[in-house]
Parts: sequence; C-alpha cells; structure tokens
Amino acid sequence: MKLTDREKRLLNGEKGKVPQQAMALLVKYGEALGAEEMVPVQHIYASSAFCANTDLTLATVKQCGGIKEYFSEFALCGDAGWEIPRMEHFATCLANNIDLDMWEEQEASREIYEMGLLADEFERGIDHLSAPSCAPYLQGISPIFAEHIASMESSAVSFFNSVIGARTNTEGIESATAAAYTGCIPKWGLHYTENRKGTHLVRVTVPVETIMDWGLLGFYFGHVVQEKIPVVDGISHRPSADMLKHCGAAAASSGGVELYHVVGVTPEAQDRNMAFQRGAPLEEFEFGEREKRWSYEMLNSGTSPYIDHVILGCPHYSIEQVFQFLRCLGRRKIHSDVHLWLMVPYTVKMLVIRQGYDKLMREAGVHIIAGACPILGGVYRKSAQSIATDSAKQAKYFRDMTGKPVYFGSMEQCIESAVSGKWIGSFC
Amino acid sequence: MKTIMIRGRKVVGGHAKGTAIVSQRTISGWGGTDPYTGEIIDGLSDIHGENFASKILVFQGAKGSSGWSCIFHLAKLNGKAPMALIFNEVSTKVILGAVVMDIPAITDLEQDPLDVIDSGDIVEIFADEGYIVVQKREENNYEKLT
Repeated sequence: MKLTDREKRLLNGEKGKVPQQAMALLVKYGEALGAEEMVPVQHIYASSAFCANTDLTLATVKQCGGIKEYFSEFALCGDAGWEIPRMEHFATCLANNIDLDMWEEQEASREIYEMGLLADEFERGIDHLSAPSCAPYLQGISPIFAEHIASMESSAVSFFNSVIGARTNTEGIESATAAAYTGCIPKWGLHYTENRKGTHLVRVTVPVETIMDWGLLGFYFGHVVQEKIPVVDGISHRPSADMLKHCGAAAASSGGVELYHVVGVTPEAQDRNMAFQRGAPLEEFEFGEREKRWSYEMLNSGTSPYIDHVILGCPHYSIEQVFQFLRCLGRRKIHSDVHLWLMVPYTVKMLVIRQGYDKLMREAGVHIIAGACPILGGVYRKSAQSIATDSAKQAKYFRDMTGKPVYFGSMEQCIESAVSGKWIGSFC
Repeated sequence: MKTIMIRGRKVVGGHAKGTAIVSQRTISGWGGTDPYTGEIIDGLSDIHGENFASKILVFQGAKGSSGWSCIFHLAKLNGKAPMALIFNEVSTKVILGAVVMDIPAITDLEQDPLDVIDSGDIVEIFADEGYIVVQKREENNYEKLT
C-alpha cells in the first residue's frame, strides 16, 4: 500500500508500540482487501472490547490475565504486557449488553455486572467515549455527507451510509480500534463513489407510512438482495429519521445491506438516475401487499396469547420516540406480569430524567434502560415466556437465538399488549 | 488419488495442510458460530452442527453482524479456529477475520473451490505462493465417517 509520511512514521513505531501495531494491522488488512491507500477518518465508532460481556468474554478475560491484558491481546492483536495509551482519535462506543444501573432488572449475573464496571472504567480511562449506543447519531455524534468514517454495528453502518451519505464499510472491533489509534482506515469498497451505485430496484406498490411499515419493507428487501445495494422507489409518504433507522436495521439483519437508497429521500438518490449513477438496475422486484405480509409472518412466531416481556428501542429510541411512547401510554399502567423495557442511548436517558419522564415511567411500570442491547450478550429476562417487540431486527434475532415465541408489531400495538398482558397485534 | 492444483490470491500468508470442511453458503460469525467449540450454530447453514476447529474451512464468504472477526478471533484465542480459510466473496468481515486469526487464507481462485472441494478432502494451502492443492478422496465417504 502507498502510505503517507505520517502513516509511515506510525508504522515505524515513532508514536509507540500500540499505534505501530494498529498501523501494521491496518496495512495487513488493507493489503488483503486489495486497497491501495488509507483514508483519514475523524469519526470512529468502535464497540467496547467487552460489549458482549458473556460468560465466554469473562473466561477469555481471565485467561488473558485481566481487562487491560484482554484488550491488548483481543482488540489490538498485541501483547498482554503492553501499557495501553489513550486513544489518539475520537472514538465512540457502540452498544453494551447492560445498563450499569439496571443490571438486576436485566437479570444479568453479578459477575457480568462487575466486569461491566471494570470494562467501563477502562474504556473511559483510554478516552473511548462511553456513550454506548447502536445509534450514536441520535446523540449528536455524527459525520456529515460524504465524510469518510470507520464504523461497526450493521444498523449504524446502514444509517451513516444511506441516510447521511457518509462513507464506511462494515468494520470489525480490531480495525475500528486500530483506527482510533491511527486516524485512518483502508480506502476500499464503499469509500469510492462508483461502488455506491444502486444494483436492485425495489418498486413499492403498497402504502409504507409507519415505522412498522418501514421495518417490513427493509426486512423484505434485505432478504432479497443480501449484500447488494437496493434502490427503493414509489414511496408516497416522506419518512422520518426513525423510520429509516428501523428500515436499515431490518435490512441489515435479514440480509447484509450496508447501503440503500430511497428515491427522492436519501442524499445520493435525488432521482432514480442518480441512485443508479446513470446505469440500469441488475434486477428489479416489487414490494406489494404479498411481500409486506411475508415479512410480517416471518417476524411473528408467537402462539400463546399471553406476553410477559416487551422490548422497545432496537435500534435505540430517540427522545422523540420516547415522547410518542408516553403520549400513547397516557395514564395507563403496564400489566403487572409484563416487564416493558425502553432501550435508549445514555443521553436520551439523561433527557428523560431532566424532563421528569422518569417519574411517569416508574409510576407506569416502564423500565428505561440505557446503552444496552438485549441480543448482543443475551441479556434479557430469561424467565420470560414470550417476547414482543416493535423491531424487525430484534424479532429476527430473538427468534433465532432464544427459541422463545416472538411477536412483532407497532409501538402502539406493543403498548396495548403490555397494558393488557395479551398480544393484540395485527398486520394492519 | 486425484490431485488438483488451483491458483488464487493470498489474503494472509502461510502454509497449512488438513481436512476440508465445505459450506456452499456464506457463514455468519456472531450469532451463527460458537467460538467455545468451533461449531456452526446458524440454522440456515448447510453445515449446521458441524465443527471447523483445526480444519480447512472452504466457504462462499462472510455474512451478518460486524462481530464476524470478533467471534472468529475469540475462537482463535480459545484454540478453536480453523487451520486455514479458502473463500470466494471478499468482504471486510472475512478479510479482517483472516487477518486477526493470522491463519493462511486465499481467495479469487481460478476454479470455484466450492465445485472442486468436498468435505473430507485433504487440502494443502500455500498462501504466499498463491495456490492450493486438493487431494480428492477415492470415494467421498465423509458422511459415513462423521
């Protein structure tokens, strides 16, 4: 690879062992990809090395000799004995598995909680911004159009690429951590304009108007195109950011969509021609009533009418969604058999408290959980008989990973069900 | 015994010789692979329930979560990594996984390895030199053996 003088100095070890190792890893990775050069990045989104925080992580941390040693061996591919300097470039954590204030409600073990505390202290100690969220853009930590970044987390990658028009491939923990010490990432794939053109045309012939509709749409086209770049056309109703957030997360879970365009909505698709960069689609298909129903049926595996666990906020809810949630709930209380969780970024939880919503939620029996993902490390109420969610992504992973009956519906349907203790969702 | 040589492109250098395990599909890391054991747990995989630890993993490519490298890296730290990787589709997930496991890996082969190699064949990989050698079993009775 052709390296700049700055990159060569890092590789020669002039800034110390850790940046040297980070640069060496990125060069090896870039060469293996076939990249010719690096691209500078100012926004890096790297999971904590401890984010999954499962029994396996615990065992591996013990085997490596501790938190710092594990970070060095695992995230840096280095030696356990190294001192770990602060991150040189601005890097933000993605979701963890627990909220350190809510671990008992989450039914996490004390051991998991204690490692969470140590890991959080360590991450903050190396300047890895401990604002864990799968949706960091909700916290104002966001790139702008055409900015090159390095990001993990499939739903965040999709949002950055598709909705903002920033440029990132799906990075992994080791490459994103290396970027935090070097400020660069291999220039390959979606960093190039020509690799961002649409491949498949999705003709929408059914109303797509709600957050739920957008999840059903994303789930369907992700399944059809897998890793390709779909272009959605025929939308009659302008979506909100939260709708596109849900759509991208769904498409990244049923397929591997890292970038999609919506004609007239997303920045690289002002019109159809622009989305395909003046080319023709390789294939096209319809999203109509039948396809929409297929998604709905794939996401609903519940049979018993009773529900006892409702999880909302995948990807994390924005403060606007929290507002809508409270408006819909009104003065009603959650059924005593039901544990309802609202998953949000830390900054949204802070706003919830500042606004006085936390008191309303406590009275209603709603648990607000910050910075956590229930599927990442498998931290959800294991005692639950069935799970209801308004997230297509979460419905899919819960079904695959827990075997529990899963219900998928709109936020409103989930709230009605949580109040009554019975699933009352429907397709329309 | 029939022997076939195929040229390809080095991803990570090195040499290895071992038994192949072949998936015609893409492999999911996080949520699809158990790094404790090296077992494929993805219900949609054609090698669901099989184990790649210390074998040569031949597959279409990577799919799923950005935790792909993370899961394979944990498998490596737990001594359950594959011995080498041979695959078709280049993605950041699979390339990073190969780099962090630091095992011989090869792609862009002149013949589709999924057409040539069957589970149970003996494969030798010369990643730096950019080729593999496949020794076909006389009759493929891998299923009977496992």
